[in-house]
Parts: sequence; structure tokens; C-alpha cells
Amino acid sequence: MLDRRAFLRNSAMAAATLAASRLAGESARSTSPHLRVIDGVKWDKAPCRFCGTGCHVQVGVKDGKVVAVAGDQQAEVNKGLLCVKGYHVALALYGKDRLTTPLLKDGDQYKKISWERAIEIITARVLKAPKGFAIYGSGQWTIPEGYAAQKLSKGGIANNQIDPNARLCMASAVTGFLCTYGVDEPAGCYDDLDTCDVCVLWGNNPAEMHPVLFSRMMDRRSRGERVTLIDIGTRRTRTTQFADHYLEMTPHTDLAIANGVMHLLLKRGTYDKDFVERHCNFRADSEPQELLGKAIDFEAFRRGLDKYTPEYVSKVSGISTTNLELLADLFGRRDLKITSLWCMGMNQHTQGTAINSLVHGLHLLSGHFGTPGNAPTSLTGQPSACGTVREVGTLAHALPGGRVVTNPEHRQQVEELWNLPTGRINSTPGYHAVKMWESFSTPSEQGGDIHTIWVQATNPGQTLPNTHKLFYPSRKLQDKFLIVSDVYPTETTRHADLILPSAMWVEKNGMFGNSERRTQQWFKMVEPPGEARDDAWQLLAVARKLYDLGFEGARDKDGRFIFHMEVAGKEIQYWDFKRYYDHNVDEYLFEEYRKFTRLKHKDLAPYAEYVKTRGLRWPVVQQKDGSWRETRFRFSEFDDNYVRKGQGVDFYHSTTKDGRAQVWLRHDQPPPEAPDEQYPFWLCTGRVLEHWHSGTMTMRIPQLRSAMPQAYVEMNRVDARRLGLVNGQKVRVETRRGALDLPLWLNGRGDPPQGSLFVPFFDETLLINKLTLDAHDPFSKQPDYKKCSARVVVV
Amino acid sequence: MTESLPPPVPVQTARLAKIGLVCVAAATVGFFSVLRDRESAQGFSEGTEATGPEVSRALSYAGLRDRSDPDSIALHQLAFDRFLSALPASMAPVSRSPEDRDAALQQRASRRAFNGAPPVIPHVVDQQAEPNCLVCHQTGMVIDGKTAPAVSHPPFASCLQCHVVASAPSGLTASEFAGNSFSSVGFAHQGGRAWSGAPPVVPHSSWMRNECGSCHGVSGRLGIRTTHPSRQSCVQCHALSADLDQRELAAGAQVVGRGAP
Repeated sequence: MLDRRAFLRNSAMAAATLAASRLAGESARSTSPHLRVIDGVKWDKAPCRFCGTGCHVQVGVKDGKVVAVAGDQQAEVNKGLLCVKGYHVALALYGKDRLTTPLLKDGDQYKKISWERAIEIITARVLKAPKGFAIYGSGQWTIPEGYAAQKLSKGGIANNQIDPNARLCMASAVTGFLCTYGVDEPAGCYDDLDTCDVCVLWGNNPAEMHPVLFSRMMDRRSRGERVTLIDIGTRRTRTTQFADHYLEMTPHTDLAIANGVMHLLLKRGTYDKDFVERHCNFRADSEPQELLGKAIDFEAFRRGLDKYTPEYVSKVSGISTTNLELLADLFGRRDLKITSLWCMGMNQHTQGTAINSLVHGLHLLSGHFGTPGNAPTSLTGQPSACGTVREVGTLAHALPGGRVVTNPEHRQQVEELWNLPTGRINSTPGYHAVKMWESFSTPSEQGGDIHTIWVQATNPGQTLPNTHKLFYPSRKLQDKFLIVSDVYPTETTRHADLILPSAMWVEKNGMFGNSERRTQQWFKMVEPPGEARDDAWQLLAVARKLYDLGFEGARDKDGRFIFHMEVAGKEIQYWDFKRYYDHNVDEYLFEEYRKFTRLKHKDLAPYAEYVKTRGLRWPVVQQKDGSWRETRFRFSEFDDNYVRKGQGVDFYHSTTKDGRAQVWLRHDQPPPEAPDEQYPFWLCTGRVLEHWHSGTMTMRIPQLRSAMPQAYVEMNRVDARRLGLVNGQKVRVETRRGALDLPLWLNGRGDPPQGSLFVPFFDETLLINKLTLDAHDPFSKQPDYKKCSARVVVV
Repeated sequence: MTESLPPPVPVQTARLAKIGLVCVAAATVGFFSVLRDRESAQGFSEGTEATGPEVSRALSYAGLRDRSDPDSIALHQLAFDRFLSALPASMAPVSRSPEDRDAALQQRASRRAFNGAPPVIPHVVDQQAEPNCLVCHQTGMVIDGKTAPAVSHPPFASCLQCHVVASAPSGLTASEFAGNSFSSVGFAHQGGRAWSGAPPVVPHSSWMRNECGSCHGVSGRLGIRTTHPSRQSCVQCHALSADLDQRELAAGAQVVGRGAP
């Protein structure tokens, strides 16, 4: 039963001390306004650790351990429901092989070292040659962690050599938003899923990858509502089983399909003339190619689409003219609300930026934009790809709050806010992820100038494409040094020179930003195992050590430490880990970061507001009565505070500075590699429901591991029969880059059409990324993991 | 409709269509139990005009999976009628011991990571099929001595989102791993009573457990089965816990900053 006195005491304390404890970590932690104590179990809120959906869970803690998890009924995202990963998220803390002590490579062995020694080694690598010290981060970094890394890299070491794993997962979505609206991230939100009449999935399998969002939409059918689901894909999945229409396309032909639908809308005159006249400009690729392209007029746009007749598109894409007309019929109707969803299918694409802009263009051209249920919405795979990577800007070219290093005004603003001497911030962008690892794997004397990479919260040894080229060569080069902060041994730590044990999830304070612009906060609830420590602390301790050693970059223009924090006029010495939680360092970092968010109207509320809620969607704008109000429908006058009165819809960061969005003309180009006589299959890689990314956490959860214990290759039955292969047989999948033996699973989780294969990437014992291609999008630099050519050999 | 299409599915279309969506395991059991029936005297009598959901021709295994074939549908209908009739009557007396309770709770615990975690699926499922779980799990039934419990929560659309199979699909094998030291708090035991004759309060969260009969009804495990299954309104006498159901939160924490409309 609830200890009622404890509950009342907590509630009273929460109310009384919340304001006072603004910077007090320990006291803020114990006074979470959501804390409940039932039968000796303390329950508090936290966002789930896994995907970008951003469900909230209730975390039950007893005797210093997490003992249970429940769906959070107060959470608007998931309304009390979770998926199988979310229900088992607590078990991710308790794999028996957690990393608990810093380890330094010593010949073939690793020896335990102290944290002091580890920090010294890292600072020595920085001081050796600051230019070549890179940080490889993550969409799993919390917002304060990413902000600390960002400031250390751009404002301290000042070489801009920081890029995240999110480059591999949503960079094309970013460039798609930028070239269309002039500002990143979706206009709509998950509320659209509650009201749309039609949902179009572009190479997306939310039934497995974003299950809670998928069921939020599909459960409407159980209530008697009608939702038409259209699945445009290259393989039948669990999502397909729910679809009203499955449109099977030849890989890489999505551009032709989007163009074909726009062609029909123009030809039939069923596009939204009023919306286009008031809110849209037209755009096409420039020579040389630049992200923002060049202006074209409506007639040029129309002529450019002439070739995309249903017959042509059908021939290219394999989709019937009937189905193309079905799409055109739906988009041509004003009485239907249409939401598009996509994730890796469109983003991991050598024309990722182009297809992203075309789907936005289709929604703009047809006026399916800006009202509830009408939205082109990209989903993210990581819990804070939006919050940490896209908003804090932990990318090689970016500064916090949507700024870029190449813009002198932006550099000046950031230098001012960070109190840095003028000119501290480097105007040359660092290397994007693929280039960073390529440089790391290239001998210094051949121009590989990255000598050290510090990896946090990600597993590039498993998730980079074409690891034979990008990852392993560096491990044979004497002067290259790999530092990895992680929670478990991974393919990356196995090849690291220095391994640092990290605290994870509710072992630390944190904040995430999900796919619908929602910023979320949680408090530390349990201690990390052994000597594991917060990633933010690791970064700050290195910064402090640099300061102590007299490194100029660790000082602001007044000579103070760049991460100087004070409470009541007194500097706090949080770099001593024993004192790290004397105060809430997260809150300090967040409040500093928050000042950057106004420029692009991504206003964040004070930390305390996020403590109170299950997240708020930016822009969060303060009202006359002092309260903070979130925005669900961005650019729409009825909801977005920043839209000019009378505009209806206003793209107030338009690249053409006229409040209009850009509808792009983009032509389809051949993929870098396609099936041929030698390698006759398409090879697609991806995830499965049970496992999240490289399986570091989920493969240590017995229930998930039992249900999906290893990687496999899916093939069509007809192909298997032709090759004389049977279910369960071990086969060798080969590409021009590598080979991998896998069991064949016919009629498995998905069903690829003839001539294509699918292999999931979660299994660290069967590394499919030794086979994938590192070719990438020209704008976003995001590689294409979804298609390359392969062959299958009997072993 | 052209002549080449199969004849339309008769009368009970809605129910039969649902019955047609059968999971492989149940289909196989069903097929054999009906086969046995047809060989017995009562099953099929020569010269009689087949009426109702009678089977008029043998089906191949492939035919069994054909969801539009009326014979396939009828075959499954027969099987399911048998399973449903195997459920104990709601007026049948229930006698149970503390050992039965322990056994039931132990079995329950064996299928969950912790109290509140979705149970794993103890049988094979079609990894690709649209969720047809409700064919068996909507009302609950007894198949070959094994109970398929009715779902305890409202029927959400995507069952496999939360429930995964307990053991890997054939052909996939798990390698060794270091293991996991997570340990949960104990499972709910008997709810407290105000005095010896008072109805016990509900000792677990009722969130997503609106169908008490799922565990406590006539097809529930004996140890936790109600002694009075004929009474349908459980929460009339057994009080729910606001604490366990997160209802304190609703009163205490407001959703702030909610935008229009």
C-alpha cells in the first residue's frame, strides 16, 4: 500500500522546494513531483531509452535497483501503452557484463586504470595535436551531454571535429526540411495520427520500428474509425499486413513515384491552387549543386514533371498505373486528411535529400499541410536524434540552435553567449561521419589527419557502413587512438585503446528530444555499477583537466573555465565526481543551452517546466499569465504563436524570405550499385521489433534475445527454390566488400520480393555492415544501407 | 462479379471471416480434431444433405490457409465450436487449494520479466500474419487440455507489438551470453481483507486489465480462478487500488502547457 505520509511529504516538499532547488541535484532528485511510493517501491517518470517515439515509462525502484516498469498513463505520446522493448527497458541496466572500470589496452590485454589516469590520457591526446582530436557522438546522448560535447569541440578544442551516429540515420531528413522550409524538424506531430484519414508510409515499417505510434493509429480501427493505410515499400513487413494497399516498388524508384503523383495532380488540375499561390515557391537543383538550389517558375516545374507519366513511372517503379492513380486520387481530394510517415527507407538513400523534399512537395502541392491530420512527418530512430543532434547541433558544420559555423553572424552570436574571444570558433566545418572515420583509417602520412576519436553512446564498429574500409584499418595504425565510452562490451570497445564505463538512462539525470519536437526530462534514480560515470561528467572532466594544464581553449575571454558554474556566487567543483550530484549540472547546462534556441523559434521552456510534464513540444512560448504553452502545429496560425496574423500558414524561416515553402523539382538518378550478372540480388538491411540498433542493450534482455536470437537472411521462396535452398539452410551472402554466412529464413519476419534479400543489423556476431556500401547523399552525407547488390552462395 | 470467381461466402460472413484468420498452431490442432470427428459415427452420415457449417470435401494443408474458401472456413468453425464447448460452465463448482494458487502464480511468473510485463507467447506464431490472435484469445478457449486465455485488456490491433514468442522461430538459435541480473519485486498475492468475511481488494494494477475473467474466469488457472464465476461484475465487491493504477498522478500532476485547440 502507499505510504501516504511519505507521499504527502514528497508532494509538499515538491511544491515548497522546487523553485529553491533549481540548481540542486540531490534535493531536486528526491522531490520529483511525480514520485509515488507504493509497497516500498518508488515510482517516477522517465522517457524510454530506446527509439525516437519518446514514450514515457513509470520506473519502479526498490533497494537501489529498478524492479519494474509500467506504461505512463499521463504521457500523451503513449497514453500508458508501451512496446515489448519499452516494457523490458529496465533489464537493459542489468546485463551481467556491464563495463565497470576504465580499461587501457596493453598489448593484447586490457588493464584496469583509474579515472584520473584515463582523463590524463585523453587530455594528452588532445594536446598532442588538437586539430586531429575528434568526438563521435550519438542521438542517444542526452541534451546536456550533447551540449557539453558541442561546447568542448566547437568552443574549446575549436576544430569542429564532432559528428554523430545520427548522420547515418536522419541527416537527409534534416536537409529535406532545410531546403523546403528553411528550418529543421516536422511541422506536425503525433496528434496527426489520431485524426488522419489516410496514412502513407514511404518505405517505413512502424509496426516493428515505432510500434506505439503504429498502434496509436491502428487502434482507431478497433474503435470503428476508418484509417486507410498505404504501404509503399520494397518488402512485405508486419506493417503490410495492416495496409489497405501495398505498393511494391523497385528499390530506389521512390523519386519517380512522388514525381508521378505530382504530375497527375498538375495534369488533372487537382492540386491545391490556392495553397500553392499563397504559400509556395518552386525550386530546382543549381549548377554546381547546392542545398538551396535555384528558383524556377511554376511552368518550369510543370514541364519538368512532363516525363513522369503513369506509364513511365509504372515502368520504372513496378507500381501499377492504377495504384499511381489511387495515390493521385487521394492527394487530389481536399476532404481527406493525409499524413505521410517515413524513416530510414527515405533517409538512408543516396538521393535522401531529394526524396525528402519531394514528399514535402507533394503535401504542399496538394495542400495536405498545416491542419490536424495533414502532415509530412519524418520519424527518428534514436531517442534524442532531434533534441541532441539536430537542436543542439552536434554535427561537424553546426552550432547550437540551428546555427552554422560558416556563418560569421552565427559564430559571433555563439562566441558572445559563450563569452569566448572573437575568432575562437573555427569557420571551417569538420568532417562528417563517413569522412571522419575514413580519415581515421587513413595513415597520417597519407593525409589521415584524425589521430584520435572519442566515441560516446554508440557502436560504430557495428553500425558504420562498409566497416572493412571505414573502421578496421585504423586499428592497425600505430598512431591512431580510439576511446570508447559505453555501458557494455561491443564490437567497438573490442577494438578500442581506451574503454570508459558509462552510466546509462536512469543512472543519471537526463533530457531527450523526440520525433515530434517534444523535450523530455528525468532524474537519476539508481547508482551506476562499479565506477561507471556519466558521459557529461567525462566530457567536463576532460575540459577541466585541459584548463588545469593551461590549454587556452578551455578558457573564456576573461580567463575563466568555459564550463564555469556557480551557485550563489561560488564556483562549484563538480569535476570531482563525488560532488557531481551536489548540484544539478544537467539543469545548469540546459539553462545555458536554452538561450540559443530562440533564433530559429525553437524556444525551450525553463528546466523546471520539463520536470513538471511528460515533455513539451517546442516552440514553448511564455503566456501573459507566466505559464508556458507548447506548440503542436508549427507554421499554422491557429496554434503557432510566431505565424503572422492573417497568414493562415506562414513559413517564417523561408529560404526565400517571403514566408513561402519550396516545392522542389528533383529528378531520379540511378543508384550507385544495382543488381547485375555477378551480384544479382538487392540487399537491404534494417531492424526488427525486438532489437534496437546494434543490440548492445536488447540482446542482453532475455525475453528479447529468446524471441529473436540471431541475424538471418530473408529471401523470396521462388528464388530459394530456383537456387535449391531450403528454410534454415546456411548460405553465404556476398557483396563486393565482404561476405557473411547466415541462416536462410523463408516466410520469416518479412517477405522480400524476388531478386531481393533482407538482413537485420542487430547481431554483433554476424556483422552485415562489413558488406554494405558507404556511398552517400551529396547534401546530407548520409550513407545508403538499404540497397547494394549481392549474391548468395551455398556453403 | 465474373464467373471465374469462387462462390460468395454464405451468411455468417463476419464471424466466418474472423474464424478464417486462424493461427497455424490452432489450425493444425483443429484440422486433426475434425478429421477424427469425421471418421467417427456421429461425424458424418452418408446420404444426408449437408446443412450448416458441414464439410463436404477434403482440404489440402495449403487449402486450410485459404481465408476465402468456404470449406476451410467451415472446417475451422467446427473446430472452434468444439473448443468453446470444452470450457467449463460458469455455474460449475470451483474447488481449489493454496498449492493450486502457488502453482498458478508460479506459472504466471514464468512467462513474465516482472509483474506488469507483457507475458511471452508460449507457442509458435506466424511471424508475418496480421494479428489473428483474437480468434482464440478473444473469448478464451481450451485446446487439447491447454488454455488459451481471453485477453485481459481491450483488444488492441497490434498484439505482437508487446507479446513476443518465448522461444526463437525454428532455424534461429541463441548463442551464449553473460546473462542478466534483473530481479523484480514479488508477484501480487492474495489481496487484503478488512475482516475475515470481507471481499479481498484487488492486489494488482487494473490498468489494461479490465477483463478479470481472463485470469480469474472459467478458463483461468485453477489456483486463481474465482469460486463464483457466475457473478460478472467483479469490481462491485473487489475494490481497485488508486495507487497501483497511477490515479494519484491524475489528481496530483496536471498536464500543463497544453496548446490549442
